[in-house]
Amino acid sequence: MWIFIQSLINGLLAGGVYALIGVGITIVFGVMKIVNFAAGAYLVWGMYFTYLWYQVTGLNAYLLIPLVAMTMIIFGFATFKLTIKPVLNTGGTAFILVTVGLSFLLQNLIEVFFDPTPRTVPSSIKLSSLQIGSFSIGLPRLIAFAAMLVLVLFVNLLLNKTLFGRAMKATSESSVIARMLGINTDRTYTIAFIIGITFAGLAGLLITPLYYVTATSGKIFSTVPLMAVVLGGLGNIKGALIGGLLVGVVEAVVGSQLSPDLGPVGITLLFLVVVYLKPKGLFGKGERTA
Amino acid sequence: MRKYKLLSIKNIALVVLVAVMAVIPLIVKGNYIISIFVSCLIFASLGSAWNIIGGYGAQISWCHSAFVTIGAYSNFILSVNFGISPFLSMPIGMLISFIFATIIGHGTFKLRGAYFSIATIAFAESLRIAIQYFDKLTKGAAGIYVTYTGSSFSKLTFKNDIPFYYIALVLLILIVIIIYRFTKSKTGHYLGAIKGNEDAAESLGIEAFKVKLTAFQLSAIFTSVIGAIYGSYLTYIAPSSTCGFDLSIKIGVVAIVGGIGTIAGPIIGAFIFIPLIEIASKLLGQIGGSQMLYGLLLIIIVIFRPEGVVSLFKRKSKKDDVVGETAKINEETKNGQGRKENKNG
Repeated sequence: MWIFIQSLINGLLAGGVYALIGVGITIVFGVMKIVNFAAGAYLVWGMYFTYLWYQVTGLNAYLLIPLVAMTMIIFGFATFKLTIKPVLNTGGTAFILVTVGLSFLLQNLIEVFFDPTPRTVPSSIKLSSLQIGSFSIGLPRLIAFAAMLVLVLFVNLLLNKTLFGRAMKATSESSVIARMLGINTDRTYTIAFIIGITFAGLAGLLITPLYYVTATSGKIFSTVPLMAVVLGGLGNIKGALIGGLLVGVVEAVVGSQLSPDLGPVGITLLFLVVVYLKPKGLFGKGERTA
Repeated sequence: MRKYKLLSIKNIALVVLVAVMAVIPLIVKGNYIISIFVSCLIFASLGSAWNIIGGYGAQISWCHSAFVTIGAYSNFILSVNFGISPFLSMPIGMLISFIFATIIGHGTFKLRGAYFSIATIAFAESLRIAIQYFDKLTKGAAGIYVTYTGSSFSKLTFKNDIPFYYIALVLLILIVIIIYRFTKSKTGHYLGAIKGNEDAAESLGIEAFKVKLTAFQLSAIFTSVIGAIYGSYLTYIAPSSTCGFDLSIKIGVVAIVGGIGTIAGPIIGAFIFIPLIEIASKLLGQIGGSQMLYGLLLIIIVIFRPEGVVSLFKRKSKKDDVVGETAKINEETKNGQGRKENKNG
């Protein structure tokens, strides 16, 4: 029983990172109707930017959040203009091909720029944990979880309380009508994509105390958040949040009960079952057209 | 109806092309060049199989490496442990691929958009993990070798690559013929209608779900057959190389570079892309550099030439003109709106 509850806690905290990337994917999808397959690759770039800024400044990873966020914004803007913008209105499968291509390009660019040696961003709290009863909670994971909650809250405020948020919602409802109403939909798309990318990059920063900085660290983060957002219901922020936590828990519980290797297989099985029984996801309205 | 002419220019050209392909091993010296030709032929077949669902059906699959893996592993496990000929184990691989394709398709083809693509990525990833985990049967991450015990057609082991060249060539021709027949069949036409406009197709009584599922099953079965032969050709298979995203992308890019949804596309794509990758990996190194090309090519093709290299050779058809016209009209309306906005402002 102890193992079960402990793995539940671990899973929830690990799910926080999936949820953060998932919310980023959801914002992009909600506004542009594009599933960003490259989120995992942006996470890896986030890890490397953290590493580079650490090399320059020597600061703790958490203090680098503004710098890394700024870098991700510029990076996201450049990649958006170069690759996503040209296919925005082509529809069909173009965006799947472009974002998958982008994911492959970005991931392998890392291997070209950096040698495959794993790097680390030192952190004094790497191994510290909170003890609650007999259960322990890793501090870096807890911080990542809290940061995720803050960022999701921030997006919620942005969407619901600001004029720009309303413009985003209008664009998501109907880009044609939004344009008629004088909303600059191109700018909305750009900003939505940049927010999504920045979330993935910050997720990369938040996991640097836990993972080696290598090009392959992002592998699990490129598939699991996609499944999480579909589980929760594409285009639904609450769904992405809960979906992320759910896959984290499933991964940890399957991992602790059967074998750590089989965690992702458990997620895939859950994914296929949910898509089969409830195709629109747990909270989604579903997507009728591509 | 137009009368079918046996001696049309197209048919003569095809016969000449096949004849040229058949004599290439007699002219070209050196096993290395032959091996690249074999890779081209195998990837032309893989790309053609991918094209059934990815091109004609416009459902982007990233799990074709998993079907290659299923074909290759059923071949290797049965031949290494029980000495069964690859030709006899092929139906088993086909059956397993069929079952998995059905499971994936059943869940996701009722929906549209990216669901199918996400499910395929997840499936390939899970299969790779499962192969690594159940290592009693599959030898895990270390992979399986087939040891050479003399040339034998029934075991698919040969001293050099020339027999494989002919096997791959015959396989490609067979697959192209079957796909050609498929595109002319009722299901093939349905698939085209769904690609064009799924709502319209459904309102005409086409069961989009079933048609897409059939296409995916067909594509999976072909891929597992090619996978079995590809495995024998490589003589060594491991989950990291046969069941990765890399291979799935390679298969997809072959079809996309050549021209999605055309018969010639994957073949032309393979003969351009595979040598290109070969040169790139010589120049830039095995990992990173050459694989970067997959992504780069994918982006460039989709942005600048969505119809692939094939579209360079095609005379402008009526359909293209219509598309061009619509784009022009759209552009004009947009500009018109812009002008109006300016006036108002």
